[in-house]
Amino acid sequence: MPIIYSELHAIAQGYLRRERAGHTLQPTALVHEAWLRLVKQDHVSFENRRRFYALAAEMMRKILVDHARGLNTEKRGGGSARARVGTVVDYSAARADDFLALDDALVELARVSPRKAQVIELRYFAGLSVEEMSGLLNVSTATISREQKTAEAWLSHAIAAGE
Amino acid sequence: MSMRQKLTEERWRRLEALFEAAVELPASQQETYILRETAGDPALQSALAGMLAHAGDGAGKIAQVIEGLAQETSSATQWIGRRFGPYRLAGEIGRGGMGLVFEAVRADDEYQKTVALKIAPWWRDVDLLRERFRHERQILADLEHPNIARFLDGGTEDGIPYFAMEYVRGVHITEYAARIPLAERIHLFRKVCAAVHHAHERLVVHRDLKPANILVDQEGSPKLLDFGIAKLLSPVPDADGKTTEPMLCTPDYTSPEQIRGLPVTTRTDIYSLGLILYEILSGKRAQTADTSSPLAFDQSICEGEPELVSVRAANRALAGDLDTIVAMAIRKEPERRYGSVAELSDDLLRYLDGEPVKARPGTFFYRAGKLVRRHRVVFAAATLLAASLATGIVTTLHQARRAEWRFEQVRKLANAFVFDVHDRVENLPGSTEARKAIVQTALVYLENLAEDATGDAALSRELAAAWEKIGDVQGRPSASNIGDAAGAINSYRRAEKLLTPLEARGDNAAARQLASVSARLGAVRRAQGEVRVAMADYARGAAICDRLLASAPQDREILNVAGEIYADITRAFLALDDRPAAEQAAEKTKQIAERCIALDPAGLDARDKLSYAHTSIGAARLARGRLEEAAESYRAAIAIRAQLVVDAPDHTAFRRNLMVSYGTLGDVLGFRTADNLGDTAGATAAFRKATEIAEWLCRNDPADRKAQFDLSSAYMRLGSVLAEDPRETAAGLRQLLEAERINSALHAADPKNYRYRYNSMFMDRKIGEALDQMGRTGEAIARLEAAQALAIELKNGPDGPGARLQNVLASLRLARIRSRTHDPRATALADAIATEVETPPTLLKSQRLDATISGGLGRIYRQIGQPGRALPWLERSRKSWNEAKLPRALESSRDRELAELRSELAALPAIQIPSTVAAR
Repeated sequence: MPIIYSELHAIAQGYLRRERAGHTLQPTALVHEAWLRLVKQDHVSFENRRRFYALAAEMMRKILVDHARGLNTEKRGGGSARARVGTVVDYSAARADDFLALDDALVELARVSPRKAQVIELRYFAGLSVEEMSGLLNVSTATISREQKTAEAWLSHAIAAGE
Repeated sequence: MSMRQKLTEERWRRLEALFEAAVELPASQQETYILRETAGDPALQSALAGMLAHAGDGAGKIAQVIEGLAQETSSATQWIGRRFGPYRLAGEIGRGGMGLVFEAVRADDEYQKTVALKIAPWWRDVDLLRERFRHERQILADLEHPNIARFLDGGTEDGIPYFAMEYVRGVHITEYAARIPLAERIHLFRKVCAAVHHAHERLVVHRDLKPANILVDQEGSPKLLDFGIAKLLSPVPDADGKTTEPMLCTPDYTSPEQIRGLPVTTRTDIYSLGLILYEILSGKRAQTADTSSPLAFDQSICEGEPELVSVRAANRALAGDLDTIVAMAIRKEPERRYGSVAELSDDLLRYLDGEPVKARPGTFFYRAGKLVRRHRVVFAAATLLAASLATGIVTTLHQARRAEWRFEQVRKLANAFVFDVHDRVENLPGSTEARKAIVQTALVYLENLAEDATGDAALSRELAAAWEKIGDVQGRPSASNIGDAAGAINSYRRAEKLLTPLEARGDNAAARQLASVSARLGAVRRAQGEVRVAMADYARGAAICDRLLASAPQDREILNVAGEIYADITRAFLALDDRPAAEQAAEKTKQIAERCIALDPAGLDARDKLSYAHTSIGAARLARGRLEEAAESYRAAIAIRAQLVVDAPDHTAFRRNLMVSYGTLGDVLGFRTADNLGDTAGATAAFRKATEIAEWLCRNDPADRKAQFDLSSAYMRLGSVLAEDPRETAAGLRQLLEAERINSALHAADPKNYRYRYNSMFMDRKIGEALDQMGRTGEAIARLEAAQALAIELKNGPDGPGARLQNVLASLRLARIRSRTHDPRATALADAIATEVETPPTLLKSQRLDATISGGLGRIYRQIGQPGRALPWLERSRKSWNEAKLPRALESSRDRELAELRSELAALPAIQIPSTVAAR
């Protein structure tokens, strides 16, 4: 498993480093690419897709978190960087802050409702649809939808409230 | 400071329940609801309120946050200002591709010229890149065309590759095209074609053409970007030289050959151009890659046929030639696309000028033919077969061991070579070795598939069909085979096992197959001497045919199978000596054949069937003793078959059938022991013809056992008939010995084969007789005794009566020899013969045979001095000769025989004749 993990990591890194300006994040393309590269190596065999997607999503998230932390190296005392607009660097840091807030909230959500957190992760970091998640997690689409909405509402609130 | 309290499970459940309830309420009621439910808990209240506030745009917010960071991650900001070679990155350019693209200027500030610099930070193998660059650099640098962005420079900096190119300002071609009318779009596209063609002529393939790579400036001039870069940055091939990674940057513009790891050529660019043309004309993408899994990806690109451009765009103006041109450019198979970009461009020009275009729509027939060609195999060794099959596996990106993929692929593969290859191989002469190779590989694959088949009717049927084909190659008696009867039975039974449950459930397709398999199973078993078991197989098959024909009397396939079955049944009944049943079956065969001819008068198949029917009827007539009529039937069969050989000279089956017909005719004319027409000349002629064909068949496929057996049989017959003529005995003997040589070899390889043993016995007898005729008495005796011994062994087999008869005949000859030499063993022999003849069931099936044998026996008894025993036999012989209905040819023989008998009888000393004996 560690081999896969680091491979996936490398893939995601590579993926993200490519030019993305103007294009939305395409997690499905990432996952697809990851799948293809991984299965090229014979020692990989995923028992079920759920594990793969969960892993991919987790990976993607982790990379972004790492990067956000990298961008956020300078915490200049109290108050977020958002307050100091103007320079590109600050703008970067502001985005990083937002993301880290999201990540924190997600961690918290996972503690009380693991499935909701997973739904969000799969949706946003692996790009799965409601139907696909329903199939993977073995839960009705109605339930997925409902859980997704609830989670989104809470997370948005959490991010906003953190400002 | 955040007003959020840390969540606990309990709080969360409360919050969740409240939210889910509140979100259903109309906005007006929500506030009251909140206040009521969260009274006394301000934290809960604010959380709930917050959630409700974000209920609508929650998704958007999250996406934005993630997006924002993702952009930062790939952002240029970390690169700006860095140096790459002589260039310094100045700003970011928004373009896709396999790297980041920047505006850059030369660092030495001599020129302020801006270039586009592409970097690929993730590239690992610097040495490989250098290597590739060495090869490509000059070519790329020399690529000069007004519509191609010039390649300026390239290198690595800190291990990161960079490429400097002409800086181009413009919009994507699709964007630009949307604003101009149709004809202008085509003109624009043709400019692009000219540029691509220019590059192709200099051996540069783009490999990654897409709208984002074709920018159009304000003057309407297109510029192609990234020419050749894709190749430099293409994935590394693995050990066997195949790349299994397709272009991943833009799955929607991938070509089928890229997905399957097949070579990328100029035709790949043509495919891309086709896609772009499609999009320019219709505003929609021709294909959308389904990237959810490798299989889906492959299917969405390699299998889905895009709609016609005109249909997709809902624009009649595009219909007709444009549809065809686009379709031709985006054909899945590279060799079916335009041969060059120039051809594509020319066709577009023809379209614009109103002239007929060269593109042709594809036809289904062509596609089917293509499939066969793709699986063409050079008829040599299994290694070549294996190679072609292995290619099928390796070139897909389906390395994943997903059950569905494997299932699908192996199924396709098995079908492809078992059917496509085998059908092509089957009808050509000289192909037994190739077929052996096919069988080996096929068995392996089929074994693997077997586990996956359960529950899938279609697959079960396919598998069964494959088993059937294998069985045919292994040992189907009426076709050339590799001589593995046991293997054939096994394979057929596996097919039966798969089909029987389906047939029981009313699956008609399975029923047809089952009928066919049953027929084959019966045929093999019959050839192995297991006639009764074979009859059971036939009965099963016949029942299915009858059932299916009841509702579909004109179904040719079933008619064919039924015809085969009934023909075999006829033969089997004859072997079991059930004449009425044989005749009935033969009639059925003829009816079926006539129905087939009615459906297809000129068809080879129908005529073949009718020839079989004639043969069956001939056999039935023969069994009834109606020799002339039987000969007539056989001649009819010969006429049809001779014509079939002329019409289809490569069909060895037809030749074989003709040979068999000559053989059966010859049998009736002058060879059949039990009775024949006495037309030695006719028989000889027929057998010579049969021999000719048999020799041809053996030359063309030396490994074919059936052909060898046929040759041996032909020589045996010819030899026998010749040997009976005193002037030709030596020649006859030669033929017989040759026949024996071949038969022995076959026998050694298949010791249990009844036919080989029977023929061996027969030949011993005939050779013995010939040797006796030539005065080589000692050898003759040895041979005849061998024949006796074998005949006794064979008495319990399928042709028991035949063996008994042969035994009698051999013994008769032997006794004659012994009596000539006054050997006392003659008596015992004669007595044994007498006993055998008198033991039911009667051996002496015809008057003539009776006459011959009785006469022979009588003479022997007289010779050894037992006139009392001689008399009844001689009398019997005379009686039989008188009563026998003989063909004209034998009239003179009869007269001769009668004359001889008279003298024999006269030579007997007067004796007391017991009344019981005299009464005979």
